Parts: sequence; C-alpha cells; structure tokens
Amino acid sequence: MSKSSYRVIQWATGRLGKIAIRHFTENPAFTLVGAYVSNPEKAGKDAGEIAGIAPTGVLTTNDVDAILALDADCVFYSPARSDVEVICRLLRSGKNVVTSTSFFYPTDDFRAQYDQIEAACREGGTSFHGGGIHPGYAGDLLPLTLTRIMNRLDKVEVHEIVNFLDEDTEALEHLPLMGFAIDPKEFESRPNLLSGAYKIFAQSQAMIAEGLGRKIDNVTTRVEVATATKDIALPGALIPKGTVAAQRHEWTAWSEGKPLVVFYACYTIGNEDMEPDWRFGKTRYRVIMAGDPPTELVLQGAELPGEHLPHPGYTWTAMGGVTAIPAVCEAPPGVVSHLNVGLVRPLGLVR
Amino acid sequence: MAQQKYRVIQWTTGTLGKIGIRHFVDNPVYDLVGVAAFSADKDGKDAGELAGVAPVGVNATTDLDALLAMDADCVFYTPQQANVDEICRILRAGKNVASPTGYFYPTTTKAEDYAKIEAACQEGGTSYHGSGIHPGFVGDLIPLVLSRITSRVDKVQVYELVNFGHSLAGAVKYMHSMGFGVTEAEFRARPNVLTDSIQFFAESMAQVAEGLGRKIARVSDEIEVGLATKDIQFYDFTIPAGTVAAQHHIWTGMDEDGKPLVVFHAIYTVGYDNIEPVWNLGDIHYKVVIEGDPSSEMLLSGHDGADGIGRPYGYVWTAMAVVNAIPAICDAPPGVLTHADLGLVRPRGVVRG
Repeated sequence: MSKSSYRVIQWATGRLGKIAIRHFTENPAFTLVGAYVSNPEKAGKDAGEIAGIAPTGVLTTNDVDAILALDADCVFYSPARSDVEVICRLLRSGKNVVTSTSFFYPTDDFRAQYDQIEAACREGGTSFHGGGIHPGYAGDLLPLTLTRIMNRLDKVEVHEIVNFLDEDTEALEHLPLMGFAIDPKEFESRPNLLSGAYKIFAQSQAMIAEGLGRKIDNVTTRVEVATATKDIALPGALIPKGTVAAQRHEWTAWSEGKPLVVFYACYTIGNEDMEPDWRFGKTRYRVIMAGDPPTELVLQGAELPGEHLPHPGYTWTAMGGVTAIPAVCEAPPGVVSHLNVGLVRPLGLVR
Repeated sequence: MAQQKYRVIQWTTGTLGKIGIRHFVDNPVYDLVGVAAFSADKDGKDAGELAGVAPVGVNATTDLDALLAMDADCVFYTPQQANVDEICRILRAGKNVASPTGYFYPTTTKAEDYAKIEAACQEGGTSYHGSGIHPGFVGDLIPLVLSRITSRVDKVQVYELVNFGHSLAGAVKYMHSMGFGVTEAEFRARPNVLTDSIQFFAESMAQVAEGLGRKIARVSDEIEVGLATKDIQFYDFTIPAGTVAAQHHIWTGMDEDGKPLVVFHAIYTVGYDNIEPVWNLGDIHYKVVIEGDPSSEMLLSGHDGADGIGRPYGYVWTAMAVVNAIPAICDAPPGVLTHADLGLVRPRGVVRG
C-alpha cells in the first residue's frame, strides 16, 4: 500500500524544477529532502528561495555524491539535458527516478539507453518513469484513454498548437532560436528546433501502437512554413514581411503501410497576416481519433471568469511526471510506462 | 502472441445491443455465441438481421436458461434497466458481466446490491464492470486522467451539453416528456427525465472523489430553466413563448468538509436563439474542467467534417466504453472492477484493416 509521504529529491531547478519544489512543499504527500543544482553558484541556497517561495529548510547542493547518499524514495529528474549515466547512478543508489524529459517509452532509437536504465533498475531495486505533457500525456496517455470509446480506430492525429501570443513574453525570446522571422529558404536550409525531436515523440507513437497491438514500422517527417504578409510587431520581437511567421511540423508513424499515428507541431505568432492563412487558433492540444465514431478531444487551459493566466504548459509538463511518483515508487523494479503503471490516482491534490 | 478470442453473449437487442452485435461481428477478438431477446417476435431471428448487418449464424433466443448454460466468457448486459438478480445469475453461471446500465462504482447507497454482485462474482469466479460514456467515462475516468497534469484540484466540473438543434430531429418525440414547451411551474411540479439519474451520477462523483483521496458526503440537486422569448418551432413541436426551451440540471457533490468538490451539469436545449438565459458551451458535447492550479479543461465531441458541427455519438461511445473493457474484465481476478482496478484498458482489435 502507498505511504503517507514520499521523500523526494529535486534534480535541477529550472522552470520544471521550480514548479516541482513548490508542489512538493505544498503537498503533504511529499517531503522534499534534497535539491541538486547544476550551477555551483546556486549551491547552498534554500530550495524555497530558488523556487520563489518561503524557505523550505532544504539547501541545494552541487555535490552528486551527497545527493546519492540521501535517503529518498524518488528523484524528480528535470535537467535541461538528460544524462543516462546520472539516471543510472540514482537508480542504483536505491532511488526511483521520474522525469519529464527525453525517455517515455523504449524504442529502438534509444535501445542502448533503455538497456542501461533497465539494468540499473534491477541493481537498485528501483523503477524509472517518464511522463510530461507532450511527449508523455497528450500524445500517448490521452489517445490510449480515448480508444476506450472507439468502435474502430483508423488513425490518431495529435496537434500541438502553440500560439506565442497566448504565452508569457518570456516565451517570445525563443522565437529566433525556433526559426521565426527568417527567410523561408534559410529556414529550410538549417536544422530547426524540432528537427531532431521526432525521435523523442516517436516514443509516444510507439506506445500507442504497441498498446493497441501494432508496431510502428517507420516515421516520416515534413515541415511547412507560413510567411508574414506584412511586418508583424510583437513585444520585443519583429517578424518582417516575407519571413517565417508560423510552422507546421508533421511526423507520421506508419504501421503496415498506413499512417497510424500522426503528430503535428503547429507553432504560430498569431492568426492573422500570414500566408498560408492557417489560423491554428489558440494554444491547445487536439487529439483526433479517426474511425468510428470520429471523435475529438481538446485539452487547454481553462478560462475562468476574471482569470487570465498564461498557457499552463510548464505546470502540465512537471505534474505529468510528479503525480506518478507514488505509483512509480510502488511499482516492481524496471522501466514503467503508461501501459503498465495502471490508473494513477494522484495523492494530495485536493487540499 | 496468439490472439486470444473472447466468447460473448449479447443480452438484449436495443440500441446498445445492436452496436454490441455489430462490433462483435466486426472485431476478430470476439466470437458472438449467443443473443438474449425479450420479445417473441425476435426469438429465433438471426442476430445480424436484428442489428442491421448480414446474417451471422447466431439466433436470438428468449430461452435465458439455455444461454446461461452456454460456454461463454462474458455477457454484454444492455437492458433498459439493470436487474441485480439477473446480473448475479449470469455471474454465478460463470460469465463475466460488462454493463452500461447502472452499478458503476460501489457507494453506500446501493451497498446491498454491490454485496450481492460481489458474492455472485466470488461464487462464479467472475467479474463485473459497469461504465459508459456518462456515467462511466467523461465524469469519472476523464477527471482522474486530467488530474494527472494538475498541481492542485479545487473543484471538478463536468458538463454534458445536448443541443437538439443540431439535427437531432429524432428528439421531437421526447420533447413533451422531457418537459419542453411547458411552463416553468409545471416543469418543476413533475418528475423530469433526469430525476432518477442522480443515483448513477453520484457513483461517478464518488469514483472521482475517492480517486483523489476524498469522499462525497452528500449530493445536492437543482435545476435552472431557459424560457423561450418567442414561439420556437422545433420541427413539428412548438415551444410557446414563456415556456421551457432549455434546462440546466446541476448536481453538486460535497466533500466531508461541505465543500463542493465535483459538480455535474446537464444542459439540454433546442438551440441558442430566442431563449433566456442561454447556456452556450460552443460546439462540444462534454466539457470537463478542473479548477485549481492550473485550471485546465478537456472538450469531447464528435469530429465531423464539412459543416463543422461535432456531433455526439452517445450510444456508440457508451457501448464501446464497456465493450472495449471486456478482455480486461475477463482476465481480471473475480469481483467488482472499478476503473482503478482495470488500470489503463488497452482495447483489442480496435485497429483493424
């Protein structure tokens, strides 16, 4: 049976880590016992201070061995870049690991890493799980859940729609890195932010297919852009006429000669003054189950009266991992995916 | 892995039963081995004929004892109203039961019935599971799944919206019995179509609350009506000005601290014009909102093409929510199975062709 409180370590204190620290502090189902920071200058500070809340009494450290020596049930591992060696050391030290980045379901692309992780789980008697918002939820758990009401499923389409005008202004800083505001020819000629991402997302596609008794044979990719029909001024950014104002990345996972799971990443800086006139609409996820009956589910931030908040993408990402922690701690050793973790009933959300 | 087949009996041949028959015939995971009918004119008829598909070589029968004596894994139990003794008989006869008709989650209100079902399961070595689209999916499984990406849950609100104006001409014959076109006083004075539903929705509320570690202590019930501001012609049914043209049923599940934790709304309307007040949730059929940190929502609708209208597929969704769980029910240890017991159900044979 589950414990009344899980001892957790927060690994890295970026946007996801801060959200997790705040949650671990507020939710009596968790006790924060350690926090790792990659930047030595942040070491020795109170984790609460870094997360923008009252002091927690837990001081951050940059010392990996000190973290490994702690008595803890689980590490929420949310660095900017995953390091399999570190994950395996944590697992071997007897701590379960939950992450919102990189590893969601074992595919051949990451076979060597999963083999290492699985071996470390066996050695440490621990479990590993990856869950977030996408990958890790909108494009795998949601379609699998929705399959439940389908008579026949022909194809799953998942559209991630990000309208940067719905985000906080911090998000606009990523526009140049993402290939906005440049000539479409230049966009085509260089790698973009999502060029390599399809292999990460293909884990979700494999999870759906294998969950439903199929295999993904291969994944093909395509990207299209829309260009501004006039200069578009944004807070702190300008999209000159003729440059990239929206992008649609399409990743198609094929099974037995047919597209079975298609992911679209639709990024735009608005819904006007661009060609083609895509009008993706507001930031949200659309999960379209083609077949009988044709069914659609939309996931979005709720607009409540008198409340306008930025899109909750980061909180969704962190919580998609964090809420699974108790179930992962209780699971038998090994890599745990949505297919075998059961119906997760998050602890301590109503408080 | 060899594909295991499940031998199923369809119990009744109404709207849900027909969907069940068509699915069992179409999906190679199932073998339809028997069909229970309850009227003499259906007795002996081919199940395919009753379901509007090609003959399948299985005849419906009114001889329930013969059906119970058959070798079968599961009964898809779809009568208009659940009969607990009949369910128990099937379970004791060694057949698992999958049902969209009631008994969705054990609460104290029906503790005696659930005790009977549980005992029959243990006796027959069988399992029972009840679900559907709502109750059974939208108002219980979906809120629990949505809670997965939430840091704090203050309140769960679930909306069912039926806009009869969306080509649901078939609804005309129910308009009067549903209380459309009568004065508000008359509407409130008589039982309405949803008066009895509270017992079923309360089970969904309990499943959500208990999934989140709380209890529903009591459920309150209120209704608001929308009145026609002028005569509204709905096909050949007239809703006179000043009478009921929309209804908003609200069931509020309070937790042990008296706080509203789970609120279900059912909104039935003939459209959005010439009605006051208007409850327009847009072009959706179900909406699940978690208020908290962050506040998030899911909208569920049919995904249709040209006219952009997402139609509801309530009957198919309801039947399939149950049918798709049949393999998991059959493979589970004996007893009453909730969503938490079943975990993530992986429907079999849904991707075919």
